[in-house]
Amino acid sequence: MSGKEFASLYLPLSADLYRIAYYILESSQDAEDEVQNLYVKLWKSLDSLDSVNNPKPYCIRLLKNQCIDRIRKRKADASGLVKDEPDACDIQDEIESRETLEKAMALIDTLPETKRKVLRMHVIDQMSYDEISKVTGMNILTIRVLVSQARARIRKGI
Amino acid sequence: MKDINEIEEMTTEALEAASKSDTVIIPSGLRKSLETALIAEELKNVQSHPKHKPFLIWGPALVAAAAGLSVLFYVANTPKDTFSDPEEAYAQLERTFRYMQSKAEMVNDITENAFNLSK
Repeated sequence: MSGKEFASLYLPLSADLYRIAYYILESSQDAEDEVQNLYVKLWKSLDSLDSVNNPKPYCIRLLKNQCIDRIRKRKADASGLVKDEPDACDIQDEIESRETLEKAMALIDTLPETKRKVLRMHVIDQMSYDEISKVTGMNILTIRVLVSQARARIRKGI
Repeated sequence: MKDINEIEEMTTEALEAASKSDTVIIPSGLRKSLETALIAEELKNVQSHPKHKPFLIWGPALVAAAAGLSVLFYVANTPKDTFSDPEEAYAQLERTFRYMQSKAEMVNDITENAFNLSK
């Protein structure tokens, strides 16, 4: 599945999925985190999404499992069980990956709106430089430089 | 927070119904933050060394080697000791050096472009 298809099929579900996460977790921060985790997970498996016939029920099932995992982890944390689990390294990797993602997100948030818009079109909609140029009226070279600068900035920042 | 057993018993249909609830306020920046997360996920995985870098290193070296071989081939095929006239010999030597210079400039241009691209 292309990023463009993902954006049109899955991103519009975000509000509904947030409501479900909130219904289960009863916390706006936790709900937002889990919806974000879900979207990142889906994005990482774009290729396998072609076989999904009905995106919403599929997302609901994934989200429900994620919420259950979150509650389990929280309970384990509270009882100090996490330290004794054999997959503590995986948890550490997950935390580091999450921290890297948050750093990258913070850096993207500092970008001016124009750069962010160009990045969105390039990364999520997977538009070519030529297509972005036609939509924004910007010079292709300028777009290339914007994308390259943003990449370099994030790479340096994380 | 709900109990795990309670959540496990929830059907997809029940959760779909919960997704229609209008009592939950959706954070205003939810969509934007999701897009940012996706961009961040994509960009954080960008390799610091582009895949075409080996070509940028070996490409100019191969071109230089090919140019060197072609010069050698040219020199090797140039008639030897056949000039009785010194002026003619000088002209031939000049032509050879010009040819070598043109190849050297070409290699220099390619190397320079490659380094600029890799910056």
